[in-house]
Amino acid sequence: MSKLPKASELAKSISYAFPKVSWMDTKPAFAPGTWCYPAKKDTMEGLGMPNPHNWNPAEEDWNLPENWEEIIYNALKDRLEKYRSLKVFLDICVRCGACADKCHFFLGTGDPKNMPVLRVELLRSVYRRDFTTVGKLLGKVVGARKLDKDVIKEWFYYFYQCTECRRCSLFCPYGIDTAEITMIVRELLHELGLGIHWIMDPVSNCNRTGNHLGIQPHAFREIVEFLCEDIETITGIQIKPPFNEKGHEVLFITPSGDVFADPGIYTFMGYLMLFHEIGLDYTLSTYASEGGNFGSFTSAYMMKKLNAKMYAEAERLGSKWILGGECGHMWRVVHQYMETMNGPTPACMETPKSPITGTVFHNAAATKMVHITEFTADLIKHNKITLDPSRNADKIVTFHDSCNPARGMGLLEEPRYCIQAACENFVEMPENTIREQTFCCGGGSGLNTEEIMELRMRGGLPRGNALRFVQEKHGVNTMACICAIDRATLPPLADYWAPGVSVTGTHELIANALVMKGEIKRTLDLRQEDLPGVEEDE
Amino acid sequence: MSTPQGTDEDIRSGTTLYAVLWPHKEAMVNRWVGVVHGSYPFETIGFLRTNSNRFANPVGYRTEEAAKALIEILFTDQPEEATLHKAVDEIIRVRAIQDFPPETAVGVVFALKDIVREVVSASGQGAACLRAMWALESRIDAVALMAFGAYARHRERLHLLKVEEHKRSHSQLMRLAMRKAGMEPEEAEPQKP
Ligand code: SF4
Ligand code: SF4
Repeated sequence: MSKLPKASELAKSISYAFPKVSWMDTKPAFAPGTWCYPAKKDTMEGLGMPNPHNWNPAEEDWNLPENWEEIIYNALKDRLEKYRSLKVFLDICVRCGACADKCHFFLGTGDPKNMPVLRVELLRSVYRRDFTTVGKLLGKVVGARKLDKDVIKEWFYYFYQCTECRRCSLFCPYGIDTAEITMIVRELLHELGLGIHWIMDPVSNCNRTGNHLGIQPHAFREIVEFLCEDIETITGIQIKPPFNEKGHEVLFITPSGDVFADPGIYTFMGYLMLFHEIGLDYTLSTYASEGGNFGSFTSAYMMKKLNAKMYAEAERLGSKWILGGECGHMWRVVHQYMETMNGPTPACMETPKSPITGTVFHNAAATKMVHITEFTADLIKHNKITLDPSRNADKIVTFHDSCNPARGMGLLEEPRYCIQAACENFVEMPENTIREQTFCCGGGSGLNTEEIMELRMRGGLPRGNALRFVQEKHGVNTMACICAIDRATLPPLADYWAPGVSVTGTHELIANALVMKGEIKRTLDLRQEDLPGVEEDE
Repeated sequence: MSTPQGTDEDIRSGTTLYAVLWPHKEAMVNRWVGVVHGSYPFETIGFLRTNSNRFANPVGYRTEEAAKALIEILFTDQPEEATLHKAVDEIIRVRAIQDFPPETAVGVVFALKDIVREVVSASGQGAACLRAMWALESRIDAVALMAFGAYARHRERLHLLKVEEHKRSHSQLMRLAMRKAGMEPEEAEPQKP
């Protein structure tokens, strides 16, 4: 009979001895809850992805194509030639460690390979051996290693534990962007037919029907009409949004999560109410019915393809510019990659100018696309809408900067300006957890899938921890955001780390407060719960 | 807290135990923190130990808070239950979703026993402290049960999160389907806000 372990042994009591194996030789254990389900072969075939095949991350054999080493070698060589940034990032890291403790996945898992510097080292070690002279000569001594199947598994494990949030790059003295490395490694994995279901299914749906869930035009329209019924119940105002109509000034595009999922729908209702109130000349599209771009979590090619669709629709409908809803990565794609990727916008499009205030959005001259909080902040600034913040008086609100708008496009003030105009109580989370330093929700870059809820909670710990702090200190009960993935990922995060805090889009708060011409006396908020003060009135 | 083997009275009157442990209070806090940190990979420990900002190092901070609350039970008659409960809850909330088997997630509480025993036996006062030690260990057991309860609660929450997320993500499709089936939305399952 073996000896019963002591409690301190169970807790793996501290050992000051040096570890027996280096990080290079420790292999990840594919425990359930830490890896995403693989993409289906059919889906990959339909999208024309390379080497589609059946495989299971939990099994030993991933059924890689026979010449997998050659594929990876060529694919990496190709990327190195194409992206100078990749070569620079791989060459210049001095391993100073400034990024090491900045990643939410490292903070939440305690796994050293989630330190951004080590994450990149997983690729760099292979690069060093095959693409640098010193690595070829000196091998392991300079941190070079041979590519083997375990390295591929490790890539899959750790590059799907990076949400491409770019927090680490903020602290790197050289500006090395680990998110870009992650994007490349995911591309390399795709060359071997390795992708995840939660990303590839939406990509495929988006490619065929226009949105992540693959909802067809008539159903999309019907659902929007339900939401209009709800608006009528709440405000007494009937709204009939135009669909696929040509000749309107603005094409409005938002992530489809705002149409299909709670609590995004309340934000969507908020957009419609605002447009109605200001008399915006706009149309929705059932084809460009997705602002999200899971292509950007797949490959540059797929990102380009899905992005192009929005502009093709603007051209078909003859829209002058695009107004974009509260989304995260859509903005990263538009702001950082769109111009290089897709080139100039269609000829019919113009630099956006608010028809209500006359403000010209020069910052959007290239992309012809304005973020809705920029648009609304401008309306508020020019007193074009009336807001009654007492309708949000029951809420003590904080704001979660979504990684992409914050670090990817510098959108920091506008959402705060909107929220503060619509709410009586606003509290910031601690300084080192907001704005450019914001912590990810733990589910960005296509990792917002249920099967890795446990991993998401680990990644969400730093955000949840800061939220818990303001909940306890200031009684915060509402966390606002401007991202549809956030609206999906933050409710469980809040539920686990700071139970009792609810999650809302910024335009839900705006619409609660929006005083509309011809509205009935409002007693309900957008969720059809009593507005503050209603009970006492009765 | 009272047990047949020893009572709070024994701890109090067992001034010997108190006297033995008191000079080692801080060392014991550090020792326990070390045990918790030791459950993480080697490369991570240095960071957990050195960064004291509660937002930049949430695990390290929560561990220290738990350690301080836990050590108080060695010195107080009536350990402040709410404080203790909170500290245990916050650290177990972290460990419940990290890559630990349940016994490692919760077992860190028991490590306090070993730490106390080491101090006592090094003092050579073991015999004089016996009854007080029994009582003390019962207290530690009670805290361990508290941690066990927290662990179970947090794991259950984790599974509920998946169910609720699924409902939220399909809320309007459900509504559409119900409408097609001629049912009113009120008949649909209530959604958690
Ligand atoms: S981009 Fe974000 S998730 Fe990825 S390594 Fe950097 S901090 Fe971590
Ligand atoms: S901060 Fe930059 S240079 Fe320093 S280790 Fe990280 S990636 Fe390398």
